[in-house]
Amino acid sequence: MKQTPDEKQILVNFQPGHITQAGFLGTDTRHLHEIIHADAVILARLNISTEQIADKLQILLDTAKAAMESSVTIDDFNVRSTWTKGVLPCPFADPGVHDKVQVTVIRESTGESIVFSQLNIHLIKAHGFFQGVGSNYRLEPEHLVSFLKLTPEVEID
Amino acid sequence: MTPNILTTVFALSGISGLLAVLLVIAERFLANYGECKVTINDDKELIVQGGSTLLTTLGSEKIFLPSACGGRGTCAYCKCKVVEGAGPVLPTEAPMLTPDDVKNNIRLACQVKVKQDFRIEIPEELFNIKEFKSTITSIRDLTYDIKLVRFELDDPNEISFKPGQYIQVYTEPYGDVKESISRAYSIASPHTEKSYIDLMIRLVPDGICTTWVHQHVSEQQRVKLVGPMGDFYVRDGDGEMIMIAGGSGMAPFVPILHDMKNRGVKRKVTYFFGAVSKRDLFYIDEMKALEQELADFTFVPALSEPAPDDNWDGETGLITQPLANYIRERDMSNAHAYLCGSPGMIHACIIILNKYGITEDRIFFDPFS
Ligand SMILES: Cc1cc2nc3c(=O)[nH]c(=O)nc-3n(C[C@H](O)[C@H](O)[C@H](O)COP(=O)(O)OP(=O)(O)OC[C@H]3O[C@@H](n4cnc5c(N)ncnc54)[C@H](O)[C@@H]3O)c2cc1C
Ligand code: FES
Ligand SMILES: [Zn+2]
Repeated sequence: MKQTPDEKQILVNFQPGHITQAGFLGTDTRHLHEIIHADAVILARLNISTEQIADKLQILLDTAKAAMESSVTIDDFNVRSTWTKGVLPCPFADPGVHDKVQVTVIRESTGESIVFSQLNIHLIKAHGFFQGVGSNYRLEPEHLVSFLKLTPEVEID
Repeated sequence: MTPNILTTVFALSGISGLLAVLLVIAERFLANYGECKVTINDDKELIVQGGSTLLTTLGSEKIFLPSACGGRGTCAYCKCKVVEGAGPVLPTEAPMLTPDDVKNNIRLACQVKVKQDFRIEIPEELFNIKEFKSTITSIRDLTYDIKLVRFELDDPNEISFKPGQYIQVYTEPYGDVKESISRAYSIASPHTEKSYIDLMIRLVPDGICTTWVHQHVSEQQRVKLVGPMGDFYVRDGDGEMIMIAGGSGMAPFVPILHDMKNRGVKRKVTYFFGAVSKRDLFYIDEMKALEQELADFTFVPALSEPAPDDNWDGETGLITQPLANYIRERDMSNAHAYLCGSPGMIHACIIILNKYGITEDRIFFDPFS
């Protein structure tokens, strides 16, 4: 598939050292669209939306932010954040910047943990992008859904 | 489809393809915009080679506008008033401009290109910002994740800054990072020391600049710096000063307190410093010494999660607690508050300060986003 100059520039943003140290693709050799599509298929099978995931992650991040750098527990989730001054742009080059907030979440009942940043939430919500396999910040959709204890939203007719 | 229609379609696509190629060639080889004049604040005139963005053009003339997105048109930090020369608003800047911006000729300097004479307006203080060549001469651990790094200034070899201001550090390529990026750090050395600056740099996991400083840099590393910048400095007044910091947010208070000591300032100062446990505390001896040297200075460290072997008998809890306990008892109608540290801490403390009578116009901190 031919790429426009704009697309080429956008793809550069996903490489190491442009916006983040290790980039967003990890060792994944698939095209960006394929990564997004494959994860969308998984979420469709689970009947979970990217909004549901992003909203839950945002609640955890906001809870951690309010505790400053201390840890705090909400439901089964122990959260702790570091919020550094400064902002990151989105690699998809849409308007806006994102705070450098990183959160570690531990499920107290299982000991499992995930790490994500404010930019992760934007990437999921606005672009359905969970990052490439091998990226330190990739959130595996299927694991994430069970980790966050998400269930399909019931439609009310 | 008949052969006739097919021929027309091919011919039309051929022509538009050819035109596109010609446009690219023309932009590349023929678009010589020659010399253009950029007039700044109706006073300073620059003769520049046309064709680059306004941000790059000014940068090559050593005039530095802020930028947080590397010129990608997404942060809006480079907004600048272009009175003449920029042409209509471009699609790449439109999403970042408010109707008021457009009415007032505010443009994104990283998107508009200098292709003819320009007239622009920028704040005068930007002219004091210089590019420095420097050499790292010492790197010292303050805590497990904060390093104190000294940069000797080579060219120019002296800096003048207001205590509290910050500077931009430019990284060199390392590992997979092939480009130089810049990040802001508050100056942590007294402003009377003009030949070097100290910075307190806290490691941010997976951070481009802090990984470079903490893991790839050693003494004798040459580093480009651009500054000084920022409006975080002490305002005149005789009311109490409340200082609040956490982590590397200690940095700007070092030159601020030294300056107050040197000038014999008599104002009452109470400095709240928040940390998680004892391993996050540093500069305690320096602060204790300042308690003796300054007329009326109290340092209040607080730990939110002291470790059992910390044997901590000082304040505990989030920094908002000792802060609230302190200011609720006192008249704060003339007080000024200065904050530096994580944006989360700053937000939380501002709520407390407002609640107990310190209004926004008497609260000062660097912008963080
Ligand atoms: C005015 C001002 C003064 C400052 N003063 C100081 C100071 O004195 N001392 C100090 O230590 N700092 C200071 N800072 C902060 C400093 O400028 C930098 O922002 C900070 O050091 C981090 O820079 P970095 O390049 O290491 O991190 P960056 O690379 O810019 O960002 C790291 C962030 O990106 C996230 N991230 C990384 N990869 C991914 C990914 N693939 N997906 C999603 N998220 C990802 C991480 O979670 C982390 O939150 C100041 C900032 C400002 C604005
Ligand atoms: S530099 Fe970020 S929008 Fe221009
Ligand atoms: Zn985006």
